[in-house]
Amino acid sequence: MLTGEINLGPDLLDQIHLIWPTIVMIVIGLALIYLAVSRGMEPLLLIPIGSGIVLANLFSGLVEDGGLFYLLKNIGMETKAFPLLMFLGLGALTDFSGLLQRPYVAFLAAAAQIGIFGALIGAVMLGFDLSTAAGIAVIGGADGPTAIYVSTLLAPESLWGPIAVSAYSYMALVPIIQPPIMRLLTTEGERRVRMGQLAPVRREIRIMFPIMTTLLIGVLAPQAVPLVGLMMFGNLLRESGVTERLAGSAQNEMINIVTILLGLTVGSTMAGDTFLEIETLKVFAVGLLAFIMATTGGVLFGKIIYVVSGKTVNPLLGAAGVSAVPMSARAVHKVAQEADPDNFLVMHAMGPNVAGVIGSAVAAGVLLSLLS
Amino acid sequence: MDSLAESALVSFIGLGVVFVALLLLFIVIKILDYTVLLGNRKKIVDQKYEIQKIEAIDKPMTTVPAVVAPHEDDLLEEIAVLAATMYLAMEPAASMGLRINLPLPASDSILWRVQGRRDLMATQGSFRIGWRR
Repeated sequence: MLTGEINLGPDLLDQIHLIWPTIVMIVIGLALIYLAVSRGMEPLLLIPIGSGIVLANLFSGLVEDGGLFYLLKNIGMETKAFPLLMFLGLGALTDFSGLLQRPYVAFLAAAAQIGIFGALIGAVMLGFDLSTAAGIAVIGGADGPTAIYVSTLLAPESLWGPIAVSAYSYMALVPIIQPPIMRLLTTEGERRVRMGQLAPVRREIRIMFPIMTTLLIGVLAPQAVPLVGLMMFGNLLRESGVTERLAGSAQNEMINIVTILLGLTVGSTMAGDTFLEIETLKVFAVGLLAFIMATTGGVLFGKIIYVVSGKTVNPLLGAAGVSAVPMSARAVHKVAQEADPDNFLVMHAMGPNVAGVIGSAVAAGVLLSLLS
Repeated sequence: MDSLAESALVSFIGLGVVFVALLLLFIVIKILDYTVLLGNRKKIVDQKYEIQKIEAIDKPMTTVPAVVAPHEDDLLEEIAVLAATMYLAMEPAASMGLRINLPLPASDSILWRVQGRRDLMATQGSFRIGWRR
């Protein structure tokens, strides 16, 4: 991990030359912590990731054989346990009502996955091999655990950190990235479309949904079952109404512990000698491309649904199909309110938002099926 | 096949599979919704309990949505007015939803849905009542 350790002595200049990547990485780690604290950018992940970068670059023993981060990487990343357990917790936290009330928003989520597949082509054009490109392209799913899960299976270890940081950074930047695209692709009249409230979803449907979804994905994209299946298991704990203690643990203690361990471990993989490469910049470029394409695809498909529905569906909802729960739903709400301050779209946008999580997991499963 | 062509092919297949998967998900949700709706049409006893709950609420009514009253069926209108009263008394962000299967001999109407939700800001909300014959 360390390319050198500070050792004041006659060869100080040589030492400085050797340790500058380490110093840069520590600065990057501190910058992530600063952004999380002062700007509120994905603090739950960026503070552990930033801390992991700082700690691992300060003391290499943590990442060497027998060190804490070494153990965590073997236990949680090599086995994919951390991202999968994150999905379990997310499932327990997610309310799929918006999707169940308006099932057609699933198509918006599907359209937004063009971000992943467009980015795949972009990554190959930038010189990555197909497998690595797929690991990077999943950033377009705007879903951190999915990106980490796929990258650990398809991309080299040196890119795990850049991919995770890129995914979470762009998710935090959704309020900046998405609105200009939404404004560019829609008219003010379209943005003003109000959507009516719908009936609450019956309990039976809430319970059957995670079971049926798991079975469906199991048949169609088996490689997506670990992600979707655990998410739906978490959701079943939540919706069954008879496992409150388990659902509570999954929503709180378990996901909090896993978030800390996952963040620290991802951060600890970011060593100066491998992170400060042109490849890292390419990963961030592909990630940005993926988010732009995903938003564009979602909004354009939203316009199709707007027309087909007789102008009753606000096309901005398509932007929420990129996942990034709940940032993109909030971005949709904010842009809609610019056109009409009394238009409240946030709950409606949660439908495509949560469908996007399923969509990106399916996309990840397809990529794994084809490339792993 | 070069990498670019291969990536384009993988993208095409992948996006296709995602659309098919979410199309099937759409169909599954629709089937679930329809199946549960059918199942609940038989639960008359349970739904009567819901009606009693509405009647138990004694709140002054300010306005009644035009869609509810007047209605040709007195009993239906009475239930609707009670439901509307419940809706108007709701706190912001509250919601209600119930289905009622109630045979009405006078007009053979069956009131089947009363639902409402008030937005968090209380600037939006909806009240809807439906019936079928």
